[in-house]
Amino acid sequence: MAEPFIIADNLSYTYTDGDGGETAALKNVSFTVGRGEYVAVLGHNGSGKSTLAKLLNVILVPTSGSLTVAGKPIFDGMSDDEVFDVRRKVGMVFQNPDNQLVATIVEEDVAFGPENLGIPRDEIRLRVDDALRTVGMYEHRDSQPHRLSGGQKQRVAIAGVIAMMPECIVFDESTAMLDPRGRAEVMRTIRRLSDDFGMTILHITHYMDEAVMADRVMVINDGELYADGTPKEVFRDVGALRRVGLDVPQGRELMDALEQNGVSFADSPIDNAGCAALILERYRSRSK
Amino acid sequence: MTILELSDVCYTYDSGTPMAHEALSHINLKIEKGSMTGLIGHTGCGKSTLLRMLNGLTKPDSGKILLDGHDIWEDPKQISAVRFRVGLVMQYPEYQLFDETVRADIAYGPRNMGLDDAEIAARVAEAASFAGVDASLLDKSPFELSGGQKRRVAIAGVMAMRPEILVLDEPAAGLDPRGREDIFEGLARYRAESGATVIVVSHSMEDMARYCDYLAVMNDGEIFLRGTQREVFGKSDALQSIGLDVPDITRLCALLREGGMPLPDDIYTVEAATAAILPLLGGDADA
Repeated sequence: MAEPFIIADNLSYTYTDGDGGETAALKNVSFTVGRGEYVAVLGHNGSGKSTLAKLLNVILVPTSGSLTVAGKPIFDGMSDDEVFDVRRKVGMVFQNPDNQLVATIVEEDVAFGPENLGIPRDEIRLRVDDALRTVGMYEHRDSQPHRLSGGQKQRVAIAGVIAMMPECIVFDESTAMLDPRGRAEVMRTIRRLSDDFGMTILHITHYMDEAVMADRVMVINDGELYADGTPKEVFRDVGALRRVGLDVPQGRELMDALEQNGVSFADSPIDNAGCAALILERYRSRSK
Repeated sequence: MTILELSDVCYTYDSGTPMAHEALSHINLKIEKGSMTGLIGHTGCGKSTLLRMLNGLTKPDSGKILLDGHDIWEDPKQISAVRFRVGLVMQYPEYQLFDETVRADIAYGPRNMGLDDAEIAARVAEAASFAGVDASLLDKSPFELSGGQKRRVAIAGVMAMRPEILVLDEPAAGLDPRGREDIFEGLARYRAESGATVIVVSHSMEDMARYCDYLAVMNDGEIFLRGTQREVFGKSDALQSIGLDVPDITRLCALLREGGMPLPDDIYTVEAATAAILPLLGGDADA
């Protein structure tokens, strides 16, 4: 594996409410994400996946175990400079497209982050233009954010993060409030950041059709790491995913139903073309 | 039998200004009594404007909305009666919860209808059950609940008015698969047991295929396709031309047909696909 970028070792986080009640959101989770990996973190609402996002950005700190990001441990009592350094390296894109844009013009919004980092003006100009081109929003640089669609707003939010040149971007359910067109726009952008820029990506989602686009899927359930592997490996066990309230691709569901009824297949593809090939092979060998 | 009909309905936002935008253009649509009708289309296609017309929140510039054959705007003073008959659940309705307890929130609609306490209590219990709100939640504050629970409370609040037509704008938006299924199963139960008509907006073709009898596809303020599942999903090229699609399983079955398997061309669910494919592979179709 590439050089580790995120290392979680027995990582736990427990929320404490006003009455002293405790809720364990993450329980002894251990994993490593290598630099440049594109990982989907899949789980239903309340599984603990968003707690993980908050830990990576030091909005929360571990209650036990350890979390290391870019070689720096995340702990209670980090100096402001240390927290700032982690946040500069790990950019976040959140769920609601309307809550993330601060300026009245798209390019000013994208410049907001680098300005706060004290980047020189000429450099900001370059970064803003590059970032807007990367997300396909350069043509809209003079637009007012409130006139954009949800998918366009999210892409501007992503550009704002890219302009700060982080080493990793965490997408915390960034597609949940978008329509299919907006979701597709954001997913293409994420794939591009991985393929063309080698960005380390953690995409937190409950949409399995988005998770299959990643190189690796980690399933979080009830605060624990429930499955971890390539999309094909993770989606092989349809029953296991169903039990934790998650969907699988319909092709996989069909092949699983056929197998339950006595038709076995040598492989468990997750794409329609792969499923069709195996089913047709069975059909042809039978009709000979 | 038609319960609700839109007849040549037009609506333009900011009419008469340079910002004028035609949201609905000559909409004709009939909704069958007791059906579950799915409304599909991209953001900005006019879906939400159309839904607001159905219970009189927005008045058409021209054309008529006929409820049981009567123009709902015939006597504008009676429009509030229409709002009890046609219940509208807007997008992200959980943001509209406001009362101290879940029970009081669900009771708000029936109370406004002037029902007595016993009837209100019965309605709250019934609606909570349909919407999948556990009785143990009724005395909690709505703000202590999870997102999916809040959503179900908001839907129960509209169901408690026992509308003859229940209209929901993306009731499953942002929910995880289990939360989505809970919502749709609740709608199916509400419809089966109350006999109500349901109109629901969703972007999930898979959910539409599973739960709806009729579909209407909107594009650019117009009705682009309408009819049974077969009449709509049978036109995959037309759907793709406006950036929509048939269910994933339907695309897979099309690949199998191209490969020579004799499958019907109206398969829209995994269950139907399994039943059709098993006998062709020599599996046990009865299992």
